Amino acid sequence: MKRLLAMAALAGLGMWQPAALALGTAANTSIANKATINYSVGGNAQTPIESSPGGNTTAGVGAGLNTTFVVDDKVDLTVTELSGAGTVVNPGQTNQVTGFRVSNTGNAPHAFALASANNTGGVVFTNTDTTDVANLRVIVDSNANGTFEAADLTANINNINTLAADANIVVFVVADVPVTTANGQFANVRLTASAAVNNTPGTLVTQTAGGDTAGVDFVFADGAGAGDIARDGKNSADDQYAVQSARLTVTKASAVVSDPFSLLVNPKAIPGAVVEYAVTVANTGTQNATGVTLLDPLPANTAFRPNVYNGNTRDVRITINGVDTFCVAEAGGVDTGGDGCVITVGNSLQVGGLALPTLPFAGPTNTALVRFQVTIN
Amino acid sequence: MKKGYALTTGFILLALSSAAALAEGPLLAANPAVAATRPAPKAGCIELKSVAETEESYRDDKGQQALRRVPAAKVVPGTQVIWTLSASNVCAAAADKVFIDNPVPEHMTLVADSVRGAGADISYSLDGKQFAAPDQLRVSEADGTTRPARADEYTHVRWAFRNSIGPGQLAAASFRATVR
Repeated sequence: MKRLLAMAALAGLGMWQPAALALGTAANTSIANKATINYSVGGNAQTPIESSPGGNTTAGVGAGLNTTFVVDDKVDLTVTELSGAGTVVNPGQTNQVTGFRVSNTGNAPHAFALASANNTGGVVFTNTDTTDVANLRVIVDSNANGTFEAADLTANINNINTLAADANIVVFVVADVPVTTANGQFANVRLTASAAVNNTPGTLVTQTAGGDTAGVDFVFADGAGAGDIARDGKNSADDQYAVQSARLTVTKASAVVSDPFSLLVNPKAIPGAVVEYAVTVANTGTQNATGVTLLDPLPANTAFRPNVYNGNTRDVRITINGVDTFCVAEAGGVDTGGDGCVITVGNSLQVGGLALPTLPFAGPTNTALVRFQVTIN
Repeated sequence: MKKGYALTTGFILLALSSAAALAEGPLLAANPAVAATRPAPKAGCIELKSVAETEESYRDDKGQQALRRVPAAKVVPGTQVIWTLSASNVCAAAADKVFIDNPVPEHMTLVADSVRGAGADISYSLDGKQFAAPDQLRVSEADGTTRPARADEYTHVRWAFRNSIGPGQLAAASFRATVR
């Protein structure tokens, strides 16, 4: 017990402080070491002797030589996806952004060459790649604030010129979403960073082959990324554009309302009979649909029946969530009433504008039922 | 044994005379302060060598994976370096009470249980002055309590050889340290 206390007191005197080193020893650091031997000959203590790489016999402090080696350049980097989820985009949008972080986890400053690409196939965030984005660009976060701004687009820095050991920077992949993409499609993209000579992103680092050289060697120490293997001087990660859009489904039904003989009881589709068409437009997508226009060519051998709804004053009945609205479909192709309904020159019923408001992607108002009648010639 | 003592005496006389000769040299005459505090360099009885090596894997003749030591090469943070010390007695007399001190090099961390030295009692230090067995080295925490020191906190290693090193004999010691 006494001894323990004595040692504790001793430790307290020369309190040991752990070195605060977040990153590895910098490349090109010389590590030196020298041992000292103490001995006696014939009971007489001799002057201590220091070591040297080849062996030293000269006694005395300073007579030895350090055994040294130089720390080489550990080339190590990571690319990580920032948000943990896909970027939601709509068809036709430009400059849509996915975010990554490139970190220099090695022990020397390096430049990093950056490249982006559409993934073909592959699963990101459990979603399989089904489409591509266009005009892919890599834009470095020019003011290093971690968010994408117009200024970053203007600065248009496409590679990392220098990144100190243990430093990181946000990199954006920017792309345009083709109008041909559809709701529920996913475009997976990949960012690959390759270690390059500091301040020269065009010159990639090559690993020093063979044995140690006198200078600083390059040793690849990176792990495998989403699209690259371990120890290749590269790292990569995937992100995703999740296309969301309105998705309209149109269904059409018809029913004979009356015929000239049976009238309203069990009417048959004979010449002179009245047929009512019911067209259902539903938005089952994930975005509201605006500017919806329904165009329904009137069948041959039929004649559009005006003035059949709303006390025989209107031509078309539109029902949304149980609420009816009506409109007049003027013949001749000009919507003189401005209510959104017209019979086109090509003899189609067109329902749009005020007659068909925004169809939301969810809720009871996402479905519009459009009804009109024709007479069989 | 008797012969050994005679030789030892002879050696000390020789050493003294060579020191005296050097003391008259121009370098020490120009700097008397150094001459007073430091003994002049002289040939000792032990040749001490320090070598840094790393291990690399290779395929041997039979195609088996094996490890071999090469001069410290391709050393990056995380690499383990083997430091080997060899002490040969180059005199005709036995050297006794032999002990080797070696600081854990700057930028390196001692690997636990890696210190070797046949016939030596191994002790450690947290300051290079006081050496003790691992179970007696304690570190003070910020809250005033103490705990046993960890191997990566040791700053120095000491090998105290139990037996003397005879003329022509070699004593070896080694430790492993990782580049931070």
